[in-house]
Order: sequence, then structure tokens, then C-alpha cells
Amino acid sequence: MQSEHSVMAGILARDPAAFETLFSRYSAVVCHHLQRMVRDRAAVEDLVQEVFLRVWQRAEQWQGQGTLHAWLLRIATNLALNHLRAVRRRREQPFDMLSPLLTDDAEHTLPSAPRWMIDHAVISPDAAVERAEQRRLVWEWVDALPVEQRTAFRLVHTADMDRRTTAEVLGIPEGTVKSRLHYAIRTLIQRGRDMALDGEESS
Amino acid sequence: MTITTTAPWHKASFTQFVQDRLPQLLAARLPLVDYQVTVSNPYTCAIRLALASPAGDCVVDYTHIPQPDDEGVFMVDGAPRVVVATAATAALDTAEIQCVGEQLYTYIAARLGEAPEGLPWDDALARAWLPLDRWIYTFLTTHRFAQPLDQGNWLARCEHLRSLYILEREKVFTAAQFGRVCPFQKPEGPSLRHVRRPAVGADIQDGRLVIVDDRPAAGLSVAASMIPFLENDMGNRILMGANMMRQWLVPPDPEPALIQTDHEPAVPGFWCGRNLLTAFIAWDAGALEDGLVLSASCAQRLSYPTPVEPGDKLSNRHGTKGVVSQILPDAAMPHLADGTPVEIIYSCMGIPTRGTIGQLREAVLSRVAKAEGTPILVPPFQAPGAQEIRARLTRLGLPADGMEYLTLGRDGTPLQRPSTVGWVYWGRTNHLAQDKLEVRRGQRQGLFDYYLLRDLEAYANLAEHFNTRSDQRANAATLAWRVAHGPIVQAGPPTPLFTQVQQRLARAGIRMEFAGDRLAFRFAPAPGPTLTLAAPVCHPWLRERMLDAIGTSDELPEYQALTAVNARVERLRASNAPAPLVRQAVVQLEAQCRALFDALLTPAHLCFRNRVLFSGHGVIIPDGTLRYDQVGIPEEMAWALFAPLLARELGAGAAVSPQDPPEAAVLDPLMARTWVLLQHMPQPIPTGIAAFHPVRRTDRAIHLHPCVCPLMNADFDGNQAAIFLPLTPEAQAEAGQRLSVAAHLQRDPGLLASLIPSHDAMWGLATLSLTPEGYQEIVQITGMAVATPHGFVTRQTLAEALRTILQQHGPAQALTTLDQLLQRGFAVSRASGASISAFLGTRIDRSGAPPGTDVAAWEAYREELIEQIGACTDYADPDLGVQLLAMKSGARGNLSYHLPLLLGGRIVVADAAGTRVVIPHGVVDGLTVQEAYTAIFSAHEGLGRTLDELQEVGQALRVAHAPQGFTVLARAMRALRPGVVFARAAAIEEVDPLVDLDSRLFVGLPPSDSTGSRQ
Repeated sequence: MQSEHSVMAGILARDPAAFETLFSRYSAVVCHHLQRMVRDRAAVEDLVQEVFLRVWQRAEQWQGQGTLHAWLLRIATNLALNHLRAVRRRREQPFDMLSPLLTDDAEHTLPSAPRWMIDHAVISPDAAVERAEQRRLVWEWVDALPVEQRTAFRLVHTADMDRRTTAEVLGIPEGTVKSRLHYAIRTLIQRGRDMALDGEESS
Repeated sequence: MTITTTAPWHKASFTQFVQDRLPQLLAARLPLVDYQVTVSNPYTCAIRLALASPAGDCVVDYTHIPQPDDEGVFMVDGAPRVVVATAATAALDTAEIQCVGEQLYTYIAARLGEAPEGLPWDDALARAWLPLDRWIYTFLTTHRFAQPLDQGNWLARCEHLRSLYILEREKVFTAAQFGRVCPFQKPEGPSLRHVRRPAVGADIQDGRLVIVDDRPAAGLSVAASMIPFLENDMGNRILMGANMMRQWLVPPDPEPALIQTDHEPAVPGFWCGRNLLTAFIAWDAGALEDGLVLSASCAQRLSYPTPVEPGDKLSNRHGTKGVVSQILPDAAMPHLADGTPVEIIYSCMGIPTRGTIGQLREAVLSRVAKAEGTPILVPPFQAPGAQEIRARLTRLGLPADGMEYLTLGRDGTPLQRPSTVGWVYWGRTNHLAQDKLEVRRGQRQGLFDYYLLRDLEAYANLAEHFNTRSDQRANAATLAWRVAHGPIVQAGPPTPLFTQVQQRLARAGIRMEFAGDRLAFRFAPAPGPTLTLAAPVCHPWLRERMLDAIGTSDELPEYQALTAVNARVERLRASNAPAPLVRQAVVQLEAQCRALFDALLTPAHLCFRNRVLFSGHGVIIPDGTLRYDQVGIPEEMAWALFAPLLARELGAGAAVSPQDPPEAAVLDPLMARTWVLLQHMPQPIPTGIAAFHPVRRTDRAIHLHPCVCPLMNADFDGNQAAIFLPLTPEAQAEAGQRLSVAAHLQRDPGLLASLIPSHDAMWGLATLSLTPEGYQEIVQITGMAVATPHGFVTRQTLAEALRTILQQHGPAQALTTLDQLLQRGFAVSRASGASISAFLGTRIDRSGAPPGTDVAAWEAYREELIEQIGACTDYADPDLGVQLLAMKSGARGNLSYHLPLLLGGRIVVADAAGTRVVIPHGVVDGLTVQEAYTAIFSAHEGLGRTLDELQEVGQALRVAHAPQGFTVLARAMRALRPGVVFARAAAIEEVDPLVDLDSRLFVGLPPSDSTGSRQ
């Protein structure tokens, strides 16, 4: 059996066979580790790929200190933490940011939809339904954003990427990603305000 | 006697969760070093926990954790919610019960990850790892068993908190449920097997439903234990009575019932009903089936929150329910001898078949309560017997049998027979005509509605519903304007449904081209914006073909997921990732493409379904003043549907002001020469849709001619019907020629049998025919001799006479005759005062009843009893005469089935093994606890079977009606994955010649000569 060192040497030399060995030897244990931390099967599948991509891209970072096994699990742990943080960030944006505008009472910590948003004649006054409607509306506004803003917004909030990765994917500086997101969110907030005013005028 | 009406298990279970089980779970998965719970207010608690971190303990505060109050109610976003307890199986003696705490534990345990050692915990990480407040909030707002609390009235709230959901589906009832959950109170619909109400003598302790009080009455639910005389009612009616009490509106001024069970709570706002002077008598069309006739002052007493109007639904505690069909001036109602006008009329004809004697007992005993000025207590299974009630009536100088002669109007003509009349506690339910009336949004039409129109060969109306008047058409918004400006021309192909399929196929790379009289299929790149796949994958619908781009489908969540996977594959490739990673990602890409394609085109996309403009719906009520070819529609609906036609009539573009008298003078004749389609929802029977001339009615209900009721399966307990207005000349002509009642009769003379009067009208005709003069009247109406095999006309002999008329003079004459017979029958009934005794069968000799419970002995006795009663010919007998003639003439009921039910000796199946047992008592005597529970087992198993059968019938109908052809569209319309059919067709560039009927109609073509009929 190949030693950890020779496997990693192979990977540094861009040897596909060495990667196959690494992958077949460790993917199950990485997967198990991630599953214990992140109880979401689809996310775990993606994270496993991400762990081994990191290894391929940054193999030189393992300098033989500690076992390869431990290093892989450390990468997995960090990626899992990033994932959980991203889930939290996504959950809270853009909806939570918009929520004070979307509610009649800005002091509600857990917002319900404002009157103007819901056709009460057709939708039961169920908070879950109201929130789904709120989200649907926000996504409608997202669709109406200029294409650059929309793409940046989607990559961060749907494809679960951080700003730096988004910048890499789009081939633009990170600052540009930030400014596109800023304008996107400003437009969404404006939409929320406009509709709130419409609602007040018509009621 | 006080009974338990609380549900302490919610609070207990949550407390155990938050105090014990949650910290145990957290300690098992996180480096928990501290955990504290503090109560902030009755609905919120705060949890502080500390996690060990290399840099020192990290303290996290969750300050807004919802918690239930002592009743078990959560307040979330300002609205009360409840988490319904669940039972794993129907064997409730052993089943594990999960209340809110156990359910929350399961929910969180499935989401909480196990933290590896040495994580650098900080507040942000802890909240990302354990969003406890979010999870609990999401659980309470989205989980299946976390529901908005029903706050309709005190009972609704109480019973929602005391609900139990059985997860297992197999059994309706198990022996272990007795004493633990109410044997009577179950939902009538598909949840029959699942939803139960814990008995008042049961409690949830340590995850089990245990019996803490085993007295018989403690085996009932809170609602069922508030039904007086429940031993005198059939079990299924107790079910309905209990369920409907939860739907009673709350009056501003509670009025306690004259007859109580002593189990009612002493809380403000509990009493939701009114003691209404009720006459159980034969009447006219107003009291047809479940129709209720109210006096004006009764309507006044029920005007919470708005004045009561026709179409509103009332119910009493015995499961009698019906819609108000008429509100008559007090002077037009029957009156007691002392001049008191009756407040509500309920036909006596429905009582023997429904077995609701309890309401009659309530009526007569309430006369005692009224006279004594104090409520009478009738606890469950302790009801006073006939003798005791009769004695109490006599003591007060009231008629011993509780029946008295009424007059029609104050000091008016006396009715011919004594009637049962007394105060019954009725409630106004939350089923209001005004809520059911809809005239703005088009009605939904689906596959069964399509089948109905197709099988009746009503192709012009079908084309209107799924094309010309479809709300999916691009020009739908201008339809009213176009109607106002000139005749409407039937829209040609393609239909919006077809266009939608065409567009969805295009995104999947399949071109479906419509070329006049055929469809051509081929593969072609998706037009418009596309998503280029980072790696080509197998086409989800055709393995041998590769797919490299997909038309964008932003509205589908599956598409969002696909773009994410696609971006990852792109990134992996861009970073020269090794083959195993790319391979794995491509597999995911392929799976996501499949998921997208499954969503892109489903069998539902090939179903006929859309909303139809120029339509409305409302609750139906019977109306004896209509002609057989008329339907009464609410004023509001008439103006809404006809305004554009009226504008055209008045001169194009004229503004129509609703209810303007001069315009009404134009509207009425316009309506009289126009057909509308009436569809009783949803009825997969050929007569489920019929055409009538509409007439305006001032209320908010749809009025049906009494003859039409059996045809459309209408029983007036709150059902609704839809009205459609055909717009094109050909659809109008077709409505008259194919869909009118006369046309239905022409097509299927066998329908005549169901049009023959029943109930009060038939009893009236049978009674009329008992005298030579009366019989001559019937001969005069029918123009022929009608057979009287038992000395009176029957449904069968009338049907024979009408069949002759139909053959000799056609449907119009037959229907006119029918109408005349009906009117005459109702008139006889109305003047008769015919009623039902609360002590039915007193004069029958039942001394021969076997002492034991031997089934064979009881069968023999039952035969004797039926024979003895069947031989009676004294139809004037106030004890049983009315019911005897009703059963013998075919008006209502059946001697051999309903007599044992009423008078004892019913044989039922008592268990799953099919054991037959006898129920010695009838509902007139009152069932013992044991008998009531045995009978209900059988009844509810039957109900369960009926539900299963209904499902099977639906499935069978679908299969029987599916397209029969083998051309592309026909194959796709039958397929579970229609995309596969289209992809195969595209691969071989198949052409659909559009010879299949359903395919042609789907595309929007008329049937071709060869496909005109499926028969």
C-alpha cells in the first residue's frame, strides 16, 4: 500500500492515479465526518467534492505534519463551518434585511407579511404561507435586477458562494462583487418601500 | 358533573423537552458546559448555554424561544398555534404518543450536527451550528402538526387542543381505542382513519394514552359528551353533530340550552346556539332533503354577525344540518295552539332514515323545561325513557305524546294531523352563503369536468371552457369588452394548454409543430435564452441522445438547483480538477437535469384544466317556484355574468349600472332566452352538468328546482354549484339541445326514475291517492290511470305513467306533468301537519322480542316485526302512519332496513373478523353503551370502506376515460412521464395525424367526422 507521503507526492506531481488512490481511500471517512456535522445529505455531497478539490489545489499545504487523515478532516471541518455560516447568512439576507420595511411593525423580530402583500381572500392567514409569498415576491424583484447585479446576487444567495469565490467565478474584483450586491440590495429595499406605499394608498 | 376539558400534555411535554431532553441532546453533540432556561412571559422563554472553547467558554443567549401556555397554546407572530399530538399506530393501548416536546426533539435531533472537538466557538458559530430559535420557530410555523389554533368557538379551541393524529392508515378502529378516544367523533372525510379526540377520561402520560376514568360517559370526547339523548341518535349523526358544534358562530348574548347534559363548562361564551321552536313536519320544497324554513323572527334571533339569509347553514346537536331555503313572515308559519309561531321547519321525512330520534326527544322534553322555567339535565347514557317523559308532559297538562295540532298562521287553518313540535338547540354555522358566493374569479375546470362535457358531446361548450373562455388566453382580459361589442367567435387552435406544453417541450429541445391538421415532432435547439451545460449529459427522456443546453426555466426551483450544480462543474473543470471529482459532479448534474425535466413536463400539463371566465359559484337551495328548466341565480351573479351581454343589448359600450330598474327590464328577458350551465361540484355523473334559463333571486344562493336535486345529487346541507355562461351562439344552441334537463331525458329515458318526486311530495301524492277524489286529481294531471297496487300511488307506478308520457309526448310534456305532480304533492304535505312521534312505535307489539342476543332468533323476530308493521294500513295513525306510507310509497325509507334501526333488532358486523351481532334496542328505545359502541364500529368501518371505494372509483374513472388512441399526443396523455413519449416521437420525427378525439380537443380542433363519438 502506498504511504501517505507518496500519495501526496503524486498529487503534487499532478498524477491522476494518486488522486484516485487518495479519493478512494478517504472519501468515505470524509463523508462520514461531514455527515455527523452537517445533517443535510445534498450539502454533504457537495462538501466532499470541495474537500478533495482543496486537496488537489493546495496539496503543498500539507507538509507531512500530522496524519493526512487529520488534515483532511480539518479541511472538512472548516468547509462545514463555512457552509453553516453561509446557510445562516443566506437565511438572514435578503429577507431579514428587508423585513423591517415589509412589516407594519418594525419591532417584530419574526416578521409576518404586511397587509398589502397578501391577497387575504385567497391565502389563508398562515404565517408560513405569508413568508413563502414574501420570499417569492423578493425573488421576483431579484429577477428584475440588471443582469450583473442579478448574477452576483444569485451566486451569493442561491449558489451559496462567498464574495471571493463569486469574484473568481465572474472574473471580476471582489470590490466589484460588493458594489453590485450593494446596488442590488438598495434596489430591492426601494421596491419594498414602493409596494408598501402602494398598499397604503389603495387601502 | 365537571369533565376534563384541558390538554395538560402540551405544557408537560414541552417542559420536559426544554428542561431535560434538549440539554441531554446538546450535551451529546456539543461541548456543553452550562444550560439554563428562564421564563420571560407565558409565551416566551430564554435559553442560555455555554460551550467549551479553546479560548474560553462561549455563552450564547436565545432570548425568544416560544413556549406554550398552561392550555398548550403557542403565540407565534401574534397568532395562537397548537402542536397536535401523534400516535404511531391505531392500537392506542400500546402506541407511542408524541406531543410537542417529543416532536420538537425529533425535529432538532435530525438537524443538529455533532461537533468535532476543539472548535473555536464564538457567538456567530454557535448560532450557525445551533439556530435554536429559528428551528423552533420554523417547526411551529411549517411543521405538519403545528397548526393555527381553531378559535371558531370555545369547543373548537378545546377540541383542537385535544386532538390526536394516528399516523398509521390501516384501521379505522381498534378495540383499544374504547375509553381512550371518542368512538363517535371522527372526521367525515379522508382523515377518518387519522384524527381522533381523546376521551374526557383519558390522559397522555409518559408517552402513552391512558384511561384515568373508565365510566361509560368518560369514553366520549368533550363535544360528544355535550349531546343530550345521544343514545337516541345514530352514531354517524353523533359524529356530525359533534363536528358541527365546533363550527357554530358565537352570538353576542349566549343562550343556554333548555336541555343540557351537565357536562357543559361554566365559561363565558360557551353557549353558541338558540332554543328554536322547531316543527318536525311534512312541508313543501322549502324543506326538501336538508332544506330549512325559518320564520322572520327566528332569522332575527340568529343575526350574528350578519342577518341570516338563504343558503346559510344551521345544525343541531344531533347531527341534523341544512341550509336555510326560505325565510317566511311569522304569520305564514305554523303556530302552536297558544298562538306562538314556529321558528324553524325541518321535514319529518328525513328522520327515520337518519335515525335522529334524539332531536325529537329534546323537542318534547324542552316543552317541560320551558313550562318549568328551568333547564333539564340529560347526561350521556342516562336519558329519561319514553314513559318518564310522557309522565312529565302529562303532569304539566301537555299532550302525552308531545304532539299537538298546529294552525297555519295565527288562528289560521288547523293542520290535519298532530305534529311534534318543541324547542331544539340549533346553532348557526360558519358556512355562510355570502362567503360561498363567487362571481369575480373564473371557476376551475379539471379533467373530470372535461370528461363530462366530452362524453355528452358538448364540444362547443368544451371549446369555450378550455379555449375561448380560458383565463390562460393572452386576450382573456379583453373578453368582457369583446362580448359587449359584438358576438363572440369560438377561438381556434392552439389552446393555451397546448401552447404551454409546446413551450415546455421546446426548452427540453423538442419541437412540436402544429401544421393545420397534424403535429410534427423533431429535436431542435431550445429557442430563446438557454443554459449551456458545463458537460453534456444524457437526455433525461431519451438515453441515447446527449443534451448540452436547456431553455431557461427560472420559475422552477429545480432550475435554480441545476444552475448551482452546473456552476460547480464549470468551476471544477476550470480548475483542472481530477477526473473522479468531475465525474461525481457530472453525475449530480445529470440527476439535477432529470429532476428539472420531471418538473418541466408532468402528466398534469397534459390534463385539461384552467379557470373559465364568465362563471361563478354559490351554495344551492331548493326552490319550488321555479320551472323545471329554470335555475335561480343571485342578483349579484346575474349582473356580473350578464353585464357585458346587457351592454351589447343596450348598444355597444353602454355603461351598465347594476340593479337599475330600466336595465333590469332588459336583463330579465335576455336571461330568459339564454342558457347557463349548472354544475354541482364535483359530480362525475353525466347529469352533473345541465343547462337552465337563469332567473334573478334577491338572496345569495343558487336556487334549484326540486326535480333536479336527485339528478344532480343535491341534498342541501351546504353543497355548492357552479354556473357557466356560454358565449358563442353554437355553445348556447348546444346547451339547449344537449344539456337541458329535457335533452338529458331524451338521451337517457332511464333518468326519469330519479326525477320522480320523493320525500314530502311523494308522501303527499300517496296520501292524496288514498281517497277517490284525490286519485282522480292525479289521473287528471297525468292524463291516464296510475296503478295503486296497495291502495295508493307509489314512486314506481308514477314512474310507469311518466314513462308512457315521455314515449308518447316527449320530454317537455313528461317534465311539465312531473312539475304539476310535484306541486300538488307538496301542497298536500304542507296542509297535512304530518309528523313523526318522539315515541315512534309505541303501539307496536314488541313482546315477542327474544330475551338474549342470538342472531338467528333476532332475525326471525325481525321478520315478524316487519311483517306485522308491513301489514298495517292505518296511515292516519299518529304513531307510525306517516312513516309507514312514506316507506311503502317509496317516498323515503325502507321497512326492512330502517324499522330494525328504529325499533331494535339490527344486525351489525362487530369486528374485523366479520362477527355478526344483534343490537336489541333501536334508537327509539335508546342504545346501551355497549350497543352504541358496537354499532359505531360497524358504521365507521363502513365509512372507511366507502372512502376507499370512492378513491378506487376515481382511479377507475380516470382509466376508463383516458384517451384510447396510439398517436403521439394520446400516448403522452396517458403516460406517467409524458416527456419520454415526446422524445421518442422526436427521435423518429413522428407525425401525429390528430385523429384521436382527445388529442384534437387538447389542440383546440373540433372533433373530426370519424372521431365524433367515443361510443
